[in-house]
Amino acid sequence: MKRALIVCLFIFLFLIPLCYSTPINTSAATDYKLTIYTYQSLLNEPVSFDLVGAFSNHSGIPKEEIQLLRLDDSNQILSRAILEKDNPTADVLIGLDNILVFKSKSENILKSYNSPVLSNISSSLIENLDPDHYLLPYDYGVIALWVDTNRLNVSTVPELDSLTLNDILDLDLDKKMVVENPIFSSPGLGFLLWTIAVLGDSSLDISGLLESDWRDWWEEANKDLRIASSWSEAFDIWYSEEADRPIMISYGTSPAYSACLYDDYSAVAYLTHENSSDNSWLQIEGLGLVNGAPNEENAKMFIDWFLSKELQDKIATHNWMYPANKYAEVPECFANSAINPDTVDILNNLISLEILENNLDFWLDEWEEIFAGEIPYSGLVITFSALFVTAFIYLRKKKKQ
Amino acid sequence: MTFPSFSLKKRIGTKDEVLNKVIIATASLVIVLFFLLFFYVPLTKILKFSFIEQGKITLEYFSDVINSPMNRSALIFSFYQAFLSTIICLVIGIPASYFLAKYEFRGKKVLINLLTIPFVLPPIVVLLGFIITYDANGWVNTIWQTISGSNNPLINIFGSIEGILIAHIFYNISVIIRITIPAWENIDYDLIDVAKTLGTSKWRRFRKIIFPQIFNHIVSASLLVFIYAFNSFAIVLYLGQVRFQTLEVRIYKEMVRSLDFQSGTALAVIQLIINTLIIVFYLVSEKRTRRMAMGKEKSLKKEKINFRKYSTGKKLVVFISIIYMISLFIFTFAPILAIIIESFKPAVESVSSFWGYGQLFSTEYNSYLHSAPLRMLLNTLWFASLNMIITILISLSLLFIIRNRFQRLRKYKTSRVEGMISYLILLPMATSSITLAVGLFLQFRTFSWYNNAVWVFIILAHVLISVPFATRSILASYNRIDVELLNVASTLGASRLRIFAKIELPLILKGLIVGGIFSFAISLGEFGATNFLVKTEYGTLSVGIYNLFGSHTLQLPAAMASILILITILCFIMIQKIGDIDLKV
Amino acid sequence: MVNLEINDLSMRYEKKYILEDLRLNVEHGELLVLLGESGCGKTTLIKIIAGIIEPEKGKIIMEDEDITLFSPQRRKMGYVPQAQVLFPHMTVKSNISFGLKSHKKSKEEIKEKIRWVAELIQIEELLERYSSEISGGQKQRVALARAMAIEPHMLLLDEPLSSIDATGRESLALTIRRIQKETETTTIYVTHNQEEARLISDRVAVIYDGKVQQIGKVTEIDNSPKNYLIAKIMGSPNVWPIFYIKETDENTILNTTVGEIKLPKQTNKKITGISISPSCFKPSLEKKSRTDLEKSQFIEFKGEVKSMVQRDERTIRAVIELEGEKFDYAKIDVDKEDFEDILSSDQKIFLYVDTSEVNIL
Repeated sequence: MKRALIVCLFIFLFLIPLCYSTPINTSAATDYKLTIYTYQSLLNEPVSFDLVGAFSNHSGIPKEEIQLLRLDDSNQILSRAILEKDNPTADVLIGLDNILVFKSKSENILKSYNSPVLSNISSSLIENLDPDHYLLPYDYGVIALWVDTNRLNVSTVPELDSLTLNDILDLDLDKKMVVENPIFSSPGLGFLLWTIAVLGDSSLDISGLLESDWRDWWEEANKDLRIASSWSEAFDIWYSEEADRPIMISYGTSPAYSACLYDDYSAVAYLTHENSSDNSWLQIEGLGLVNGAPNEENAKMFIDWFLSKELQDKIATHNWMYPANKYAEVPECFANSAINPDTVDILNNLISLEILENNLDFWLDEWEEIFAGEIPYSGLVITFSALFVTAFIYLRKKKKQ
Repeated sequence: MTFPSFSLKKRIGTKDEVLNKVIIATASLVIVLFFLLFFYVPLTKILKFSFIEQGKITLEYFSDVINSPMNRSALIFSFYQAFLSTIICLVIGIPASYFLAKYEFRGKKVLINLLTIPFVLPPIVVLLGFIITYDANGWVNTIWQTISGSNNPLINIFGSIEGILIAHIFYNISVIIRITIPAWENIDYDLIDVAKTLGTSKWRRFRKIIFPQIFNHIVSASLLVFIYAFNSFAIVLYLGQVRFQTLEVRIYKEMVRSLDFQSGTALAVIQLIINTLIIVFYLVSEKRTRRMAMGKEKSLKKEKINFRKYSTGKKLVVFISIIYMISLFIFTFAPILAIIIESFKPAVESVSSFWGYGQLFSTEYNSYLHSAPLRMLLNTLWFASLNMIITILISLSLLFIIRNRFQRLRKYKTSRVEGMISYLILLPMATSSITLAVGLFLQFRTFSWYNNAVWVFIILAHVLISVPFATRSILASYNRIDVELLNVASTLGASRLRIFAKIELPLILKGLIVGGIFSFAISLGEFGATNFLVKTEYGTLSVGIYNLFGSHTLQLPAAMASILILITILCFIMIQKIGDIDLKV
Repeated sequence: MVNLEINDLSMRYEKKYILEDLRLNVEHGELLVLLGESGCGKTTLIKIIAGIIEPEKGKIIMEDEDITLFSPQRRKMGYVPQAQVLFPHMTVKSNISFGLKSHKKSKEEIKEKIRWVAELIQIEELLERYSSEISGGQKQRVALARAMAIEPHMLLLDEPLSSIDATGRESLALTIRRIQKETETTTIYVTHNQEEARLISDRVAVIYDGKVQQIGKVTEIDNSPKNYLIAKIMGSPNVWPIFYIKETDENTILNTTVGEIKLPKQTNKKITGISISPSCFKPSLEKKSRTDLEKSQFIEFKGEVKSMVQRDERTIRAVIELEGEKFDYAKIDVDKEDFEDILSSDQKIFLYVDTSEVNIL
């Protein structure tokens, strides 16, 4: 009886999956006419936009011959592209921004492409992202503090409208805040650079707006901030009432989501206002042609289409950023709730591209060191010495025997 | 040569011997090719990143890596938390194991088995259970806040050492308990009686007689816990946040996130060296433990709990022990229970209790998961099954080579093959799963079929991870076979193949099945390598659960985790059942 | 019925020779007992003959065929190892049929052979049981049946009685002897127990120092053991080694563990030890005076009675602890009627032995 039971369990556990043969079927090698790497959330909210289908209609390439690979985040896109540098699989990379552009250019994974559609793209975006056209901008937005005003009453914190970074510390707003890890997340990195641009870096003689040092700010905020490893994790914390952190680092366009979908304007984006200007860091996202792409012509066709008005109209309400194409449409709810980057004093100008490129890794390392938890060695020393003494006594006794 | 007169033909011998040689050659080829192709060659590819620059060998990256304060603190923290986890596990586990060894009560065996379950659970599931139980609004803190009336949580598991330590203790306590129960049971009580008659004091008896006897077991168990905690990945990745990182997390970050392959591989090499040292140390200590376990006559007197018979002092001691065991049981089971309850607890009132399980069939969460949860479940089972089959085949090939040391002991020398093989499989055991995955990826991604065959490489990574464990279980049962049985069989005229099929295979069958199920369970929960290699539709439940940590409801991941728990427990029950049937010679 | 010839066989274990240039002839159809103390290499020898261990040097010739490099499968030897190893996952019947199936016998033949061998060894009622369900003696019988079923050229038995309780031993030994006679199988039987050798052997080969030291019928070896060690291995009582020999003009003085023994001049052979038959001791409660002794040469021993056992109706065997630094014991046979009432435990006693009755080994 027991034996029969065990046999049945075996059949259940091992044989049923064997009948399931889908992985094998898909293993038949397909020659893709186009392979795109992007991040998970591209054009994915509130419902997934059928990017492959739309391009298939546009280009006539059969849907099943287009491969869209969604990696965890934009860092992953870059890392996979670098790993595949000698023999690329991807034709197009979507989602590298105005910071990852350095690494992608120094690693030589992209090929410059002077798309005919570039004339429709705002030239300042092109200048700020990549004047050499390795990476072409498709959307942009500023980093902002995204506040749920239902839970953080604006009337009790009137300073929000003229907030400065130092106010955050003074008003203990950092206890209400969740920040993404700049190493993993682009809004997180944007916010780190924001603090550097505002506060300056004394060790590098970067004065910033306030001629102070960004490390001091983070060191003070260290114990109070909650660090999330990704935007979605941060959002989860921000959203959960129990965690009680109604401020998160997100985009100036984030309020548009609830505004357009639920007509809910209670979540508001705020900037900081040092030296009485509206300060923020600008993020520009771009796409690029892979150097040595197997299907370069299709890739170019895709890039042209992606920057065209047809697709760019979808950016605002599916990717929740400002479209790069000057002629793309933005709905009213979007314009009313989101912070338009064109009205903001962009902090990016305070840190030259050269300084940024040279010091990015250094800053991230420094930031990580500030946040590295202190290991209380006392416990270790006590237990270790106790153990050592025991072992010593034990071994010595043994020797005597 | 001492046999000049014998013709070569006689030496080679019969058809049987030729066939045997062919089998050995094939098996060796399979093993060597497998490990060369899927482990050693990819490993050298990785090493090239960190040691070779422009065709020259350089140690520059190495010194860079060691000089980086973050890497150094990750290294120190790995040791620190592994050490503390081990010590705390010992302090909590050893009294429990003494209690379990000393007292006889109904359901004891079940209790021991239940306490072992966390160890076989996938780390992601443990993590999820942990978040549900100890999160700011989790059970423990809610209960604490209700009792104390304070608004501050009792425990903060995020970015704190406590969180990581509690998770590691929860995960590893069973290792200590399981390994040290036989230690207590095997203590030679004759010696203690002798010592009592000689009038030695209690403390002296403990130090001189009891402690030396359990010492080796404790060392083995501690080393095991240490190595698991040292290489902890998912738990520290999630709970440590930025603040605390183990080497493994650091490698993951350097390689996958910061794109710094040089640092990543250099760290991987450091980790490899440390792991190899600890594992070698463990193997030595385990061998000694096994040797010491032999030849004990009188063992621990077991007693039934009987309160009426005890003096007041004893009553108190036993009562406290029972309370202790109950708290340990609650500590172990709360997270598992929490997952199962959470899977039936709707986040929004509008959905049913079975929403989580219903979601298995929907594609609503595809933007997080890339495929339906059901598909992930089937992937998980499919990978685990294939992994089990390949692992068993490889273990059998190993056996085909190793068993030949018993066929004619030439000059009584044991073959070097076994030693070589144990080192061959030791290295994959000491390599971090992420390094394994990165190696496989770098080696094979240039093939045009790579993207369509990612699942093959996920399975290969699982095989590399589970082969050492499975092989150890199978070899252990093979080594229990009496050599004389094989000698007799060969004098009875049975060919080597027949001896294998009719004598050896039936006798190791249990070990084989246990090893197989074990590798199945490992594959079920594997996270690090899978998460790196995974692409779109090939996700497993572990990866799915991790991706859903960011979603608004934990009901779906809890449902997925409950399924994993169920399957893992089934595997575990099977191992226990099979392990219990004992064919006594 | 085969014969076996072993030439110059050597085997080392970690540089130490356990068999060195060993020579041995086994005659057609005989039962040869290899007698030797534990660790003398007799198990190694039997394993080499079975083909399980390959020798370093030497030849094994069976019926004029050199089988030194034959695999165990080709040798067709019936090997019964010391430990009672039955295949634990098979019934007794499957254990027995294992060899037959390996030799690809037909079903009818296998059935027939099992019936035959089960009857021969009297294990018919055990056939359906597993090895965990039968006793040690029965296991050994099944192991024997399993070896015999293939009708081996030779039967190799490695201490078959060592782990069997006393009562079963003799019956199993006699069973082995009966089977061996009935089937006329040349048999090598390894043991350290000389009583087994006396019970069933045709010939005995005494092994130590990696060599066969003496080979022959039990009586032959008993009568003229080559040296004191062989006598000791053969279980002769009152065997003592010699430390050194002093030669005088008339006498040879042997310094033994039991004191100096003065004998008439010995010239014929190398002396390794002495033995004295238990019946040659003349016990006396009082020390005899010198005059009594002068008639002939007597050796005197002094000791204490430690135990007494009745041997048969007439004689008592007593164990005497001899006076001296080492604990040496003499076994003496005395007449029951004369001594039963006189001797008691711990009693001081003098023993006298005529020098002519001392056997020089």
